[in-house]
Amino acid sequence: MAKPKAGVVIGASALAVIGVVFFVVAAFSSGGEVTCDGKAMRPGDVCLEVAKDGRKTYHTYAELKAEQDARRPILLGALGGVGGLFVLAAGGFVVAGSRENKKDQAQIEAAAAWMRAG
Amino acid sequence: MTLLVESALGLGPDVTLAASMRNLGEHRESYPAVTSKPLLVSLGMFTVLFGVLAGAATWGAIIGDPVVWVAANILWTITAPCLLGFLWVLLRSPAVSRRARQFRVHVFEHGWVWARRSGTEAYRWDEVQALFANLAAFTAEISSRTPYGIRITMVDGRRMDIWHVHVDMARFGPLVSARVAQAQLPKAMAYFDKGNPITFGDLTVTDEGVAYGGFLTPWSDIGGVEIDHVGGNHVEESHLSLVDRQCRPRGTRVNFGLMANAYTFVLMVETIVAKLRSVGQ
Repeated sequence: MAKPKAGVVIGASALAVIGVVFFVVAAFSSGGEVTCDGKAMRPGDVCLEVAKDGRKTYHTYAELKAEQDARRPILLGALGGVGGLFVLAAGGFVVAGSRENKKDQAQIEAAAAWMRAG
Repeated sequence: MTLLVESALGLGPDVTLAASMRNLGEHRESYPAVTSKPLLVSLGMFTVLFGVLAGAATWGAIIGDPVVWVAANILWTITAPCLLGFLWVLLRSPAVSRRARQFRVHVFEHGWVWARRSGTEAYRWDEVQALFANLAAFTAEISSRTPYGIRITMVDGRRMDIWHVHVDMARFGPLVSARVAQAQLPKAMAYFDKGNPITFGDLTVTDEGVAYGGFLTPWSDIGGVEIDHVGGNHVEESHLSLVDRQCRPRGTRVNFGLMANAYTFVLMVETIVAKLRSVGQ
């Protein structure tokens, strides 16, 4: 396969990096830790939620674990999906760029015949 | 006393040496390196846009839901390369860098010398083996048929890409493409006159006409070549098509930017058509 042009490689690398960032964020979000106000909870802890109207709600560790475990696959799927799209696009760019460069190379070689003979 | 700086400075010894090594002849004119405003503006806009969103997400994560940190991290990750790109382009541009202000394209009688960051190199018009020209109305100052980006391969294997981000392509683009085509035409015609077909991209010039994928448009149907730019000012693809004597399209349209030596093809078709007309065909 012909080597793609530098611009294609730079563009594809940028897309791949963005894709990897999404994967990394997804990996960090999949810790399985139950949190309350960003802090890790342990079994037996209770989380107090205060609404804007001052209403207080208490959540047990089990309740929050069930809620956050249900939300996690959606978040992971979304982040992983977007990351995967970026990586796929990067691969597509590299393949298309290689094909185009192969065609260019064939034209350059074809021109050599009449450039030398002329 | 005041002096015109460009004349007073003259050409650097590296430029003179490179030009004399390739017998480029007399110096004609020089084009200074340019600051790529469209690139800077677009990178700056992305930096501000994603930076503001990232700042807002960070603020939201601090005072509100910590889950927003995920969005903030993603936005900062997008902002960082935009900012780095903006700074990279700005710091290397003639507007800021004293060194970049020394970069120039010097046009000579038989070729050009490009003094740039990677060194000073000379190129002859008649040593260009393949020239790919991208045409577009990239900025308002450049017309739709002006090459804004040119990729060149020399007979000795050297390659160069020169774009509107390097030099004023509204002036240099038409000049380099015309001079190279004029230098290549005699070689192409000599090869063709010996009975050899010549292929330019998807098109092949033969004794009978111009062939595209097994379909031949005979010379009797060809009046010339037309280059069109479709889709308004922001489409970077231009097409080349054969037209008859009434300027109606004949045969197929091909992508101009993907065709090596497209300008030479245009000159060659015009030369053959003129030759056939002169003998009454």
